[in-house]
Amino acid sequence: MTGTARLEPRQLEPDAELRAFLAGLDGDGAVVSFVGVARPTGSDGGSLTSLYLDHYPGATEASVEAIVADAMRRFEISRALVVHRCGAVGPGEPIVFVATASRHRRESFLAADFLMDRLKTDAMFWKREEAAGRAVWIEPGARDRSDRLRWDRS
Amino acid sequence: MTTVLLFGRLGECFGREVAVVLPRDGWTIADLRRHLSTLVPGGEEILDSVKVRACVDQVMAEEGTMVGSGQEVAFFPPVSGG
Repeated sequence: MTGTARLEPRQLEPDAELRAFLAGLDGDGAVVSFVGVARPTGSDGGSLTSLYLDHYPGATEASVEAIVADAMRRFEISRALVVHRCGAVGPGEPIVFVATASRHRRESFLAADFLMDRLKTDAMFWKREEAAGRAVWIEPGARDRSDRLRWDRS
Repeated sequence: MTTVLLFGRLGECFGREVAVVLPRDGWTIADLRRHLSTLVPGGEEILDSVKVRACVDQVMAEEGTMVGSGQEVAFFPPVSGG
């Protein structure tokens, strides 16, 4: 069983990440992958020039590793990978790549869903939406918090 | 001397890094919070939020956690990844 978390300060390449993940399979019958992409519009509907992801070197990596380890404990998956951008991300560029592998598909779907909900509320990043002449820090919304709570009940 | 790191919107308000000279017996996180809040206009309101949490040497801390010289402290607003 292998869980991997990585911070990526440069361009994230989901196709290359997925190829490498598939090459490392060992007897699995299912792989689920997810790509989070920077939206071109902000929370107020206006156009964005970029998204900035602030992070705490060391602590941020540890927070993502803890989330991956939790997914490995919780679901019958053989592998999990999270690659998360930091720094400036342009509109349409990938922010996060998640992949999970298991013998049967259900556990991979559940684990990928769980990983994303946890990353939204527990990974140590701070997001700033940047547009011409303004910048706004974004905090998790009610939807993010309720998505996270689903896993405490199950 | 101890280093206080500030992230997200707190970094914009206070600067990424603030050096603080601690008293001989150290300070609690609550003491440090009060000290930092005097450094910028409106600092009290920015830091005196239950949503602003702290770490000492990268481990989550409570208001009563003691901080000694040479330790690394971080204050940060709610996190948001993904």
